[in-house]
Amino acid sequence: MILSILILLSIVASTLHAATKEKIIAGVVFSGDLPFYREIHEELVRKLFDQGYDQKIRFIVQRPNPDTLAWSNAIRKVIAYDASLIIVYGSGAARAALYESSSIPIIYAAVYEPERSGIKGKNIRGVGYKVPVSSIIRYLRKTGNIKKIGVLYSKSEPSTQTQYNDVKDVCKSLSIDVVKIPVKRPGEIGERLRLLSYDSLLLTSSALINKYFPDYILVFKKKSVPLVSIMEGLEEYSLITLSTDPRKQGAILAKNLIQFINNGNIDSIKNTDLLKNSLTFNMKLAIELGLDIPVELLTESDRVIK
Amino acid sequence: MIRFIVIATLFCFILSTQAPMTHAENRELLIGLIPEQNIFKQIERYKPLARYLSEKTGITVRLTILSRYGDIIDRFVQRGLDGAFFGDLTGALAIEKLYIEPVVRPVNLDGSTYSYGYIIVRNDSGIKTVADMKGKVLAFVDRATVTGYLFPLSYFRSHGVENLNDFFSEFYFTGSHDSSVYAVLDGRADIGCVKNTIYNNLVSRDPTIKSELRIIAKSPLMPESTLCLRKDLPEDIKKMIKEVLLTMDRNDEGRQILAKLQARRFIAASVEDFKPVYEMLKTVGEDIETYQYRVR
Repeated sequence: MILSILILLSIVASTLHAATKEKIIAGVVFSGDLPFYREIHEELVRKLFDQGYDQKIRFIVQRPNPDTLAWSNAIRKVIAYDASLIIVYGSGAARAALYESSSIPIIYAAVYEPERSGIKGKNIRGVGYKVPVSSIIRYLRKTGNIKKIGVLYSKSEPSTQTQYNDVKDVCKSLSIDVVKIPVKRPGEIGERLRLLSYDSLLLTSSALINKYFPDYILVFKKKSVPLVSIMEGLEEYSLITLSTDPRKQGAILAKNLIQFINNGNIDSIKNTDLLKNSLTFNMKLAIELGLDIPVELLTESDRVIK
Repeated sequence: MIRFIVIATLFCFILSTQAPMTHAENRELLIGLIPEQNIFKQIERYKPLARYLSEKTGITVRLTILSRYGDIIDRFVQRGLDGAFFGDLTGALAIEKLYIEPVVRPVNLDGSTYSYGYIIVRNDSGIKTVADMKGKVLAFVDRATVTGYLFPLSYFRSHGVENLNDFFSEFYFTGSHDSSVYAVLDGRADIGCVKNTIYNNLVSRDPTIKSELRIIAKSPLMPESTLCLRKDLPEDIKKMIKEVLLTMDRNDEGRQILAKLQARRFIAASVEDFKPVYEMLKTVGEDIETYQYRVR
């Protein structure tokens, strides 16, 4: 009897030992298939490789369509793959992961003001960011007489609602009207852009909006008003883009992930809010729209599109 | 990068104002400016002063703007400058390295005759102490300024930060004081350094800026931008320039130009004014003779 218990214990111990030597399976879920998220992931992979951690982890990457159902399905898929960790990019996927799993550790990146956006819990840690919307509005006002700014955000992505609230707060003190433009489906983008009245438009960092906005660019162009954005990727259409640096997000994510690989404990990861933004000014668009070209945008921008 | 391209295109920008020929016929003065604010704003501020001086003295006064603070020391002789509006550290460096003498300096709108430096952060950054700055991004102005470099350096050292590379995730030089403010406002840097007069100027034009920023530290008083002229200029010219500047607050035209410069009037300047700069250099263990003021 004692002998069989000892044999059983040794089998269990050796199985556990083998398991710890195995690669960690991490499900990675993008809030949308966007260059911004791809860049974060590429930086993550690069950093892990540089530091010799690439052999210790296996990624199952999901790039669902940016909607609630697709995010949930993607999270369920990675859980079914027996992922011991879920990595999410953007607030849409982060919220779905929190909803679908209360026990699997979740590490997020590229979530605007996570705490205020409700991306918090015992099993979730990560790197968020903040883009001062007051700055982008300050620059925008220098290009012309802005009285009514439309804010396009997604009802399914909590961070983008936080961004809408921030714009509203800033505009209140500047006597600028804010036009709330919430969308849930791609088709609503074109419809709302056409029907509503605004003299400038701010795109939040919604995955849904950033993925589908180019499909409705002709509708928007008919308005002949400036567009500003707080996410990299649409600089071709955006007069001013003030965005967090995806490479920095990826680098901090890699640091967090390495910490998790080393001790298997999500609690040791400290939430970080990154404030390292870059400014792009599309001077070509300013000329096309007949706007003023403020000196500050020329001298301060990290990139000027001519 | 863009900033430097813009500056480079204007590198040799020279403003000239034609003056009616009077007793100082055919004479010309070339005065240098440091990029205290962005180059366009500097032109806007100083152009009327050059015109006024030209009209009142009969000497054609031309202005040339240097792309970097340190350039004013390196290029003073090379460009054949007759004088320059020097900043705190560039003034002290010029007194040591160039054959110049301080002539006048402005009285600020609030009546002060000195300026000081601020270390600023965003109000919502959560940064309250130096300890909170660990791992953050810092924006200096230029190595050749006290308010934009030496003071913050001294401040961080006094709070135990010996090695900037180890303590901050990144630090860089913005090239002008207003750029440092915008870098913090935009979240391109967490911590910035700025001269109070430039900060006040930005706030007066956009009061929302004040509510977004927090001042963490304030430097000792430093000399304001000082006009220094070559010692070997003819005495009558130096005297005339000084006289015109010292009395320009007594007429409407002069007062309007002073307002553009955010000044009440000019007062006489002296080498003594630069004492605080030498003291600040001492606190960071630097010697003015050997100080590396160029941004590499």
